Amino acid sequence: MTRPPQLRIPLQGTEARPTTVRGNPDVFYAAVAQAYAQAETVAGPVRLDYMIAGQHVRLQFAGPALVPLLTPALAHLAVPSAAAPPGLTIHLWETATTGSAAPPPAWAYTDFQQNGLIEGFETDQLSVVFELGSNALSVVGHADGHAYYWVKQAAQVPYYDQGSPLRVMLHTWLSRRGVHLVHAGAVGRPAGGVLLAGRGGSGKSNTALAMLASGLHYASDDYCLLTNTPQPTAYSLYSTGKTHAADLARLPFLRPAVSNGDRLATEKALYFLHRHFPEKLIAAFPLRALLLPRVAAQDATTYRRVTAAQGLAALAPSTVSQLPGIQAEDFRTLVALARQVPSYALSVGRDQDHLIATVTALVDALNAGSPPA
Amino acid sequence: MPNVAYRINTPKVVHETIEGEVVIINLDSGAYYSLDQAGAALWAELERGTGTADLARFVEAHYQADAGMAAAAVQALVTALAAEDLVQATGEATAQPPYSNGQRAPFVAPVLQKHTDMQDLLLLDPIHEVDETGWPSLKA
Repeated sequence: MTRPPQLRIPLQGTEARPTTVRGNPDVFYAAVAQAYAQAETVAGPVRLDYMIAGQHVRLQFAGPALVPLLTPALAHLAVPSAAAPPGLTIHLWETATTGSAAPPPAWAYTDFQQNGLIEGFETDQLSVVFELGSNALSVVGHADGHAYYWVKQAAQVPYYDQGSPLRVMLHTWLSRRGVHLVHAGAVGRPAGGVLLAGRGGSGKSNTALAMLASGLHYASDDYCLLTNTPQPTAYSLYSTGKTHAADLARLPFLRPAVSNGDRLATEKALYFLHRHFPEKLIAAFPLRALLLPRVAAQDATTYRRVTAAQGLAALAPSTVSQLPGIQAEDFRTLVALARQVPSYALSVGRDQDHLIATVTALVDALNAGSPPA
Repeated sequence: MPNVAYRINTPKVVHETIEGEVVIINLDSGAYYSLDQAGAALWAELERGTGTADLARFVEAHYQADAGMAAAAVQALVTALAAEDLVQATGEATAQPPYSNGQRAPFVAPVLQKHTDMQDLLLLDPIHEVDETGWPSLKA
């Protein structure tokens, strides 16, 4: 029997001597907490509170360096600091301005996995992820409501993490509370809306962002949160959007919102929508359907009913593959959603006005209790 | 054909049947699979512990397939499932009672459909150097 290959990144030590022995996760967690405490002593705390899908989450920074990189995408969910303790406090720091570094890895360098998980460091008490793209360490302590995020320097946070910060950490903590991160766009009205599901390049982001020019509201273009009880509900997590620079020709109203205009040769255009379209953002709505967009070589936008299995196949693979440590409950939530709401294949035409009108009419029909057959 | 039983590799493999289609996820790899029609029916039988020879007879009884076609299809399916680490052989299965031949549906050889976005990410595979503290950083 051939097992699927485990994915290892070849790490080439120079003068480094990476550990070859796997240490104790609890000892490592305590050392991370201590390193943060030292950083905060040097740089002072910056506390910002958010309400994410009904959960009170605090970001506590050691100094301000990471604040302008990791908070703008969450600004629409900010709430005044409350006396009541939050459900989760995420402690964030960088070494460059605090002088405090995370403790050395407590595992062999061969334990780094391509998806960010660390062999032996995903337990009931602790989740440790090191994302090799951004080289950020994320540690979640499930027992004490604290989590830690560390990078060597703020400048290394890539633009895509600025657009969807702390994604893995929030997924890890929220999923244990029945709130699941999904790879999907979400647009609608307070009475109800739709998820836009599909792998990268399917047209989720363009379709979601196009709705900013409609009467519908915007909850996400790429990642949002989902609960199934008492009814399927989508929650906004990030007030950002990303498209290829070439897509601005179809979405010219977004030009003033481009935040990284000097780097479009190497980055997707990143929009912080709360700065430019705050009235268009929506925190949550009941879910009425899954839309599966596909770019079509036609002018008009059309849709047709498809099976629940097709809806699930559009939603689940990219969600599962992007979330290290996915649990059975995450998958079952997606299955339940696909069973609870209808799925429609959306052929996205070239005519933006027709796209907007078609999706708007579909959402309104769903909210009126008349889902098209 | 030997009558080999297989077990589904729980807990890392989870599966659900939705509108007659079986969807399967390997939680360790994040890969997502689906089986429909005869494949979905065979998965359900596999889960019950039905051995491969009996699975072939199941196909013959329920689908318009001869013995050779049925055996080849079953062997191809279990080989594909095992190669993806979704099932593993557990030994000789207890023989099932004969299947009664009722109406037989047209037979389409089952195919394990694999859906994954991970491959796009895997192709990046940058080289990382480990610094003096043991943490990886991107090679300049």
